[in-house]
Amino acid sequence: MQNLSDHELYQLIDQGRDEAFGALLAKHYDTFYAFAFKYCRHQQDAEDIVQEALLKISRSFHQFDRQHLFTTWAYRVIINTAKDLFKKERQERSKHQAYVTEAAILGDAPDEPPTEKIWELLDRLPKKLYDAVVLVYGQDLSHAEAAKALGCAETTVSWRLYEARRKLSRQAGRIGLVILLLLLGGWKWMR
Amino acid sequence: MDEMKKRLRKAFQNLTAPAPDRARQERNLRQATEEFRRQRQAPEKNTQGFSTLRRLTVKLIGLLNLSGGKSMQTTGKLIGAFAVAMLTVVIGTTIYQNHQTPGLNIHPATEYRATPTAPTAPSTVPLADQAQPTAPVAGKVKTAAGPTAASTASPAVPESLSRPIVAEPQLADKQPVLSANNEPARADLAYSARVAELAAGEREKKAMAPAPMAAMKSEATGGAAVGKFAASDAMLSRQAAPLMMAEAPAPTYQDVGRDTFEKFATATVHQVASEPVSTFSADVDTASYAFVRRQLQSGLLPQKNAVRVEEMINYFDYDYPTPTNASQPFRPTVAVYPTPWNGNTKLLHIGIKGYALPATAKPVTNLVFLIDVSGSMNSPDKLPLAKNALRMLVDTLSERDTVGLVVYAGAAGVVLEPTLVKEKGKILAALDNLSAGGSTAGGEGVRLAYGLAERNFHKNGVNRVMLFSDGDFNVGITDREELKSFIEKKRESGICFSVFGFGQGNYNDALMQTLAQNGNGSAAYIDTLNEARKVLVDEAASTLFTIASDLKFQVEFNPAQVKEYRLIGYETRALNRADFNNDRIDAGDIGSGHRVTAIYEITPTASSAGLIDELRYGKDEPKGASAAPGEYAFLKIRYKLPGESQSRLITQPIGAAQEYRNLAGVPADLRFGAAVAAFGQVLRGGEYTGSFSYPQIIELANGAKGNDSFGYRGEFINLVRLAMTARGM
Repeated sequence: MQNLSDHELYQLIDQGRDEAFGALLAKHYDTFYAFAFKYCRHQQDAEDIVQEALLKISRSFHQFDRQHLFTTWAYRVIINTAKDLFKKERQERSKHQAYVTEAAILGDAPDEPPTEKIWELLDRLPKKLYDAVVLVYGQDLSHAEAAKALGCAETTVSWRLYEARRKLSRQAGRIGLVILLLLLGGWKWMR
Repeated sequence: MDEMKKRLRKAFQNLTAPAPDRARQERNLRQATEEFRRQRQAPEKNTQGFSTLRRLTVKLIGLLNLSGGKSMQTTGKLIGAFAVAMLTVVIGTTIYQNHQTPGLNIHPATEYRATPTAPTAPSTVPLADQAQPTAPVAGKVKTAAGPTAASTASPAVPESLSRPIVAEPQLADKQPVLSANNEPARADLAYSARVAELAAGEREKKAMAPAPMAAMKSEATGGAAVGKFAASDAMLSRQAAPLMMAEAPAPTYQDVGRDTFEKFATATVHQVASEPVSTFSADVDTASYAFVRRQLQSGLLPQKNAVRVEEMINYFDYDYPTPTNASQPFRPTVAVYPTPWNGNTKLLHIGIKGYALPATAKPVTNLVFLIDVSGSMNSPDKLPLAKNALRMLVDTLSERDTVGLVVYAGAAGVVLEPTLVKEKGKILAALDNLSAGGSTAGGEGVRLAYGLAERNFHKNGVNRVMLFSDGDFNVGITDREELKSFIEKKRESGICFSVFGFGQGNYNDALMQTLAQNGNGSAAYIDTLNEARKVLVDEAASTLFTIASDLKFQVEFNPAQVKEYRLIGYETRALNRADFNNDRIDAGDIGSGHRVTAIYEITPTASSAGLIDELRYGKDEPKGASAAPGEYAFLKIRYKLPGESQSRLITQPIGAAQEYRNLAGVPADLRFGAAVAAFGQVLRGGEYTGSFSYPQIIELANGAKGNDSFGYRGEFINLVRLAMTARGM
């Protein structure tokens, strides 16, 4: 049954075949999991998010507008679930990460922060910008699709991405500057 | 800037997710599908999609029921009321549509869309929760009942009625202040649960819902409806079940069969010449019987590992003589009689019944309820049933007892600090507030509950953590060994641990057993409100008060009389011969009034039958000369009184004096025990029961029903009947 298209599955669901709904979820499970993982970068958390999100999807499937893509709609549910589940944790984590970042800056970091550093920066982005980044750069959605998932206008998505990149570049730039100064200081001290 | 875009994409590409946990995936999907199905069948919540007529009918049935008062209990009258309601509505609507008066030209349908349900997030309140409205809501329904009977044709009436009902779940969610003494409100509650019930039944038929889940669900909802309505409601839905079964589409996600049970092999026959001594620990659990019953009642044969014969035997009360004081808390009853399923062997029946504490001597109890509120508990036969069971338990406690409440889902938390039962309202309100969702950090919950019990420790009282769960721990300490060692360590502190299992499909019996066996506690499985009543109200004393711990049995057979023996059941409770006298070795605990029965099948030396051949070379002359003639075996029982670390010993020879020559002369209670033993063994595959069949078991049990005041034995006979037609999985 998983080979059927989403629309064929909707039809079966409408005929009262509950297992078709199960098949619909099973078909997209890996996508959802991958997305949740990109969102929180932690396997257990991702699985918790997906579990909760699937329940929400089951409860509100009758509200889902069939004109849209099922996955896009589901992304939105997943984002909301993740927010609910990790509101507290993120606050804790960001405190911790602020410390980590600082340590990284003071330690002997290479000229350009490697990709791991980018995550720390990403986690400090405002929530709305972060969502847009994960959807578009992580999940390869078009701006239009991301707009549907986020429930905002396409231009808003474009602006949020721009804003996110600007903030990230500036952050990265700042780190670079600090390192440069440190190096300069060190060099001067050596002499 | 563009560079940042590239870098972001690259970072995400490099981020490879580890493969998802497939077992978890399976579970998540199943849970979601179930939720979807439930949602589809949920009454009241999505009334929007149905025709005006249907909606009116549903409301009106409730109405007629309300105005009809308590006399409307029988099914017949109910159907009558339904028919009258239907008629009234049909006539009423026709008149209404023909003569639309200007004052009433709002169509009911548009009115409905205006009800304040639309934009709110879908309510997570499980079905049964709707049956716990606050007093004001119930009041509203009642007052509305007055004018309606007179003016059923008016569209304004059902509208005004529907409001309180539709708004109910949200209200109940926000302010579940339910004081213990508002009995009238509870009566109303039963009515509104009934409205929901009827609506559910109706819809199920129309929607051709897959049967087993639906039947289960409405049954549990009936259970929630407090007291006398429960029975008739359950009957209603049972009648509906076969009908739906026929219409059900291809099998959907079936839960059955994913429950986890510890694997064990049936105990084999031992030769007295080589192994004359048999040692085992007492087991007072009954979980297995309740689970088997549930499976059979849904038309399925239980899986082999779910059947623990000793737990099935111990489910029933046998009329063994009870001791009269607490210092020797039990007296063994022994008997030898012919085996019903084998003409060549005999049964050696050992029964004990614990001393029953008089009501005045009950110690102060410090209970901590540890309740699983994870997503997997979100099913009418799980959390809502557990909440009802707890409510009943709280009612049986005395005022000086304390109750604490710890819940766990994604994380664990204390919901209620230990509170005196005097403030019952507070405890009940905290219970009502619970709803299910999230993952399951069971390990963390266990830790927290023990902490709470320790802080409120009563030195001379009973201290007990009671876990209510489906055993599905998936966050935190999930390793069984680790949990086991934690509980083992805590055992020293004097806190007992009891386990109550709920639900099926995800039920992890193996874990629950591990927890109970290592935490000085017992395990019960609760599938219906009736079972909850048996375990938590009728047998509350057995469940709560331990009268002896580390109860061990050792039987030494006399080789002059017995050739072979086989212990029926107790496979998971076997002990080594040396463990019997070692007081450091843990064994089962026994509560006030608990009874334990063990049955051996023995082959007398005189019999020509026997499964093990004698040795050709090392032929041993039977010793046993020191024993009295005709003595079959020697029984030794060791136990510790509460708080003592030195065990005490009871001994009893089993000989011709306790023998019955033919089965008919055996007391009915013992014969019934033998019937249950036979049934358990047949369910496990019947390796040793030969051609003994279900009808023969029924005959045996029927002749031994005795007084059976609670109907448990009658129920057993019905189960055997069901087993004849049940299908394997």
